[in-house]
Amino acid sequence: MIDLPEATVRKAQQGDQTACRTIVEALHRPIIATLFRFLGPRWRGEIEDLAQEVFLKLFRALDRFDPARAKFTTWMYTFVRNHCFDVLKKRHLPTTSLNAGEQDSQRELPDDRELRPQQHAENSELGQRIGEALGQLGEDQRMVFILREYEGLDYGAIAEVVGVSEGTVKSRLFRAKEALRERLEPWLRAGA
Amino acid sequence: MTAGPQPQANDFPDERDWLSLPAPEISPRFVDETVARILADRRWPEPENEPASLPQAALAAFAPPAASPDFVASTLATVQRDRHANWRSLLARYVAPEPSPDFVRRTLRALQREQPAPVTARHPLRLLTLALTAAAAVLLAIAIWPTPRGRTLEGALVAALPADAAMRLSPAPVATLVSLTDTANDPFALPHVVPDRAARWRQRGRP
Repeated sequence: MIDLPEATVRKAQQGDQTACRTIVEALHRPIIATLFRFLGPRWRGEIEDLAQEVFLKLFRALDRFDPARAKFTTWMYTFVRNHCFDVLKKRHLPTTSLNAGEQDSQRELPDDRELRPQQHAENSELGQRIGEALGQLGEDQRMVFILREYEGLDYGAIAEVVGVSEGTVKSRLFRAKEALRERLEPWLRAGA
Repeated sequence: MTAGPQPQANDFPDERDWLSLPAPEISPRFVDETVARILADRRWPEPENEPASLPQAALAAFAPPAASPDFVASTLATVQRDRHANWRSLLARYVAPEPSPDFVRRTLRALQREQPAPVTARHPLRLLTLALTAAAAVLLAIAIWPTPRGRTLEGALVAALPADAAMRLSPAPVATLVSLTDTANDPFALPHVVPDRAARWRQRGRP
C-alpha cells in the first residue's frame, strides 16, 4: 500500500502545488485500478473522468483530513469506495457485462507483450473471467476483496474504509474468496 | 348511516388480562439454532476453514488500464480550476449592503454643511509656530555669519568709543576728575593715567 509523507499532505493542505502534484502522481494508479476493478471493463472509457472526480472530492475535503485519525491512503480509499457506490447508485448501469464482447476483452489486456502468444490468450481469457466473476459478487464483498487482494490494505484499514468491523471485513472476504474460487476453478486449474 | 353499538370503556382488556396471556411456545432448539446462525454469519478465515487465496499471478490478469500521459497534468489543472471556482463562489456569498437613498442624501447634506475652515482660524498655533521658527532662523544666521578677520566684538566696541571713554567711564573717582579737567583744558589731550587695555589697543590702531 502506498504511503505519503505527512509533510507532503500538510503542504498540499496549505496549497503547495508541488505537493498536490506528488499526491496525484502517487495515487492515480491505485485509484484508477480500484475504480476499474470495482466497476468493471464497461467503464473503461470513463475511468479517468471518474478518477478525476475522486481527486476533486479529495482535494475539496483536504482541509478536513486529520493525520491523527487515519492514514492518508486509507482516507483516500474511502473516497474511492464512496465514489464507486455513488456511481452505481446514480447511473444505474451494470457494473460488468456478463456477455462482454470480444472487443472489451481485447482492450482489457494487461501489458504482457513479452508473453508467448498462447500465454497471452490464456491470460486475456482469465482476466476476462476474473472481471466477470468479480462483477457477480455483491458490492460490499467485491470492494473488500479488491482492497485486500489488489490494493493490499490490512483488515483494520479496510474496516475504516468500508465502515464496518474487522470481523465483518473478514467474513466478507471469506465469502468473496469462496465465490470466486468456485467460479474460477476451471480456469485456475487450467492455468496451474 | 346506521348507529352501531357504542364501545364501552371497559371493553378494552385490563392490564391484568394482558399480563395473564400465555407465553408463546419456544422451541427447545431455539438457542442452538440462533448460535449456529450467528456463527455461520461470522465465518471468517480460520486456519482450518480459510479458502486459499487466489494466485496473485492469476489475479494480475485482470489488469486496469494505464492512465493517459497527461492525466496528472489535466487532473491538477482541474483541481486548480475547481479551487478557484470554489473561492469565487465563497466570495460571491458576501454581498456588500447597498446604502439606502435616504442614507446617501443625509451624508451629502452633512458633507455640504461641513465647509473647510480657513487655516488661520482652524490652526491659530500654527502661525505662532511659524513666527518663532523664523525668528530662531534669523538669530541663528546672525550668530553663525562669518565676521571680517581680526574684527572681534571687543574691537568693534573700542572703535565706536572716544579715546578717553575708558577713563571717563571708569568707576574710579580720580580717573573721572582727571579726565574732566583735562578735557576742559585740552579737548585733544591724552589721559595722564595708565590707559586700560582697550585704550592701548585703540592707540595701536591709530596711524
